[in-house]
Amino acid sequence: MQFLRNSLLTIDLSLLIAVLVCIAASALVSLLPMLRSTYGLLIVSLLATAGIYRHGMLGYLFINLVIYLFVAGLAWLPIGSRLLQRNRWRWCCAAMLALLAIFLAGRYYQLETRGVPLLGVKLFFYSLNMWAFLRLITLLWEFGSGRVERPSLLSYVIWIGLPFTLLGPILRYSQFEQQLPLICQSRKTENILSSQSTRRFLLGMAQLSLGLLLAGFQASLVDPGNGLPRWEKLAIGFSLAPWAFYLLWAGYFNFMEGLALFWGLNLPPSFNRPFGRRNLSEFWANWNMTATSVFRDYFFFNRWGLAKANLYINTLVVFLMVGVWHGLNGYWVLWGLLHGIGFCGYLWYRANKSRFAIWRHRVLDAPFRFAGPIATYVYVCSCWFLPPTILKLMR
Amino acid sequence: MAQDIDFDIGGRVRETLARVFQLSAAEAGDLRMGLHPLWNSMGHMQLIVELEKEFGLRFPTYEIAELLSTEAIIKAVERYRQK
Repeated sequence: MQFLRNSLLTIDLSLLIAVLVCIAASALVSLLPMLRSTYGLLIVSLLATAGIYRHGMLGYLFINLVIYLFVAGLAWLPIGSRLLQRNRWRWCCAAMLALLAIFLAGRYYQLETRGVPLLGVKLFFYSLNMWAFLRLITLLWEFGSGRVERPSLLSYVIWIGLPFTLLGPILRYSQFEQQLPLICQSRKTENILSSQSTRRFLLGMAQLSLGLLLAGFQASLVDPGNGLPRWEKLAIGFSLAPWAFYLLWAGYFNFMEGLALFWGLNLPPSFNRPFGRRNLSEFWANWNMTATSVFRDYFFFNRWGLAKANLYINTLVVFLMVGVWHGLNGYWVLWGLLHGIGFCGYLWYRANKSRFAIWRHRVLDAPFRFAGPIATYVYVCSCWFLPPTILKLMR
Repeated sequence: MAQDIDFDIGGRVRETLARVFQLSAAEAGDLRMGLHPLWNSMGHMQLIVELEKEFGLRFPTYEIAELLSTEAIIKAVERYRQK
């Protein structure tokens, strides 16, 4: 059973640790009612952060503390008048840009791997992964816009240390703040017996297992020893790899949603059957939704100071940002560009739909129903597979 | 009477929604983003432009993502008209 061995080999160790830590955190709070208080949740969250971040914990806490001090400092300025509200917003925009610069510099110079020796111990003062970065951006945005007030230090630390969101999905502070009192009030049996949490948990488990099996199966098929022709490898890549990737991540997020429900915490959904959607817009509206909604709300719904938004520019900015958020390298920049170009094409088609109406009705009416989902699937997969080839051609 | 019409913000918001998303005013009464096929991210930006034209105001960037229902839009328009 080569593919079972390959499945086990595809398991990401840090993800496995995160899953185990989250199971422990969920079980602890569910079984020990005394932990169902802000201080109890604080202890569990800090322990979970230490378990997941390990040597990066110090850097993670340091960056989050700096942002907290910034927010707390700004909160001293009253926002009664419109001018002061605007100033708060401007300061938060500056902080978001600074955080983006720090995030990109951290990626470029790989600061997470650079420790500072101190008294014989290597200390890591920088740890800002993609999820922590996006989470802090949402806080600065929500605070700057006046949607949330200065968080208390206690609830802030629980929020940044929530085990179920440390490696995604995104739970905005405004969404967390309103649930915190409910977590402390809810009874353990209510959550343990909740069919919703069990269903989500089992669904996540099933998706994760299936994703692992598919990834292992694909790895064994495309093994160099098999000597498969290039087109067969490509066909396997198009048919198995996207599903394995989707099932792994959808499974992980569903798993986290289920575990969080045992606390009585509702995480927003992340995936809603993205494959089979009729166009790129629908695909992105159902893929990694907690993260894509942040990019949509902050970058797409934006005029960049102009009188009227240019949706084509916004689209390219959004997808370039999403690409860079994944990784600061040629692959992800190209991936973002390809998605941006595809989405702009869809926007143009949508704006000029009437021109295609007769042609569409006469020629493609029935097949169009199938052509849309197939074209979307192929385009999304191509965006994953094409960048290495394009980069090779560019060299 | 003219003043009543001018300050019937709810009615004008619903009319704008109906115009942008090709609905009747009644259908636009209690609408949310995502409930109507045309009210997606692209439709949302079109709606914002139309609302700003209709009421002669300019929503701040951070407000745009909050205007996700008829009710939220009416409240925001009321708030920004007072300022």
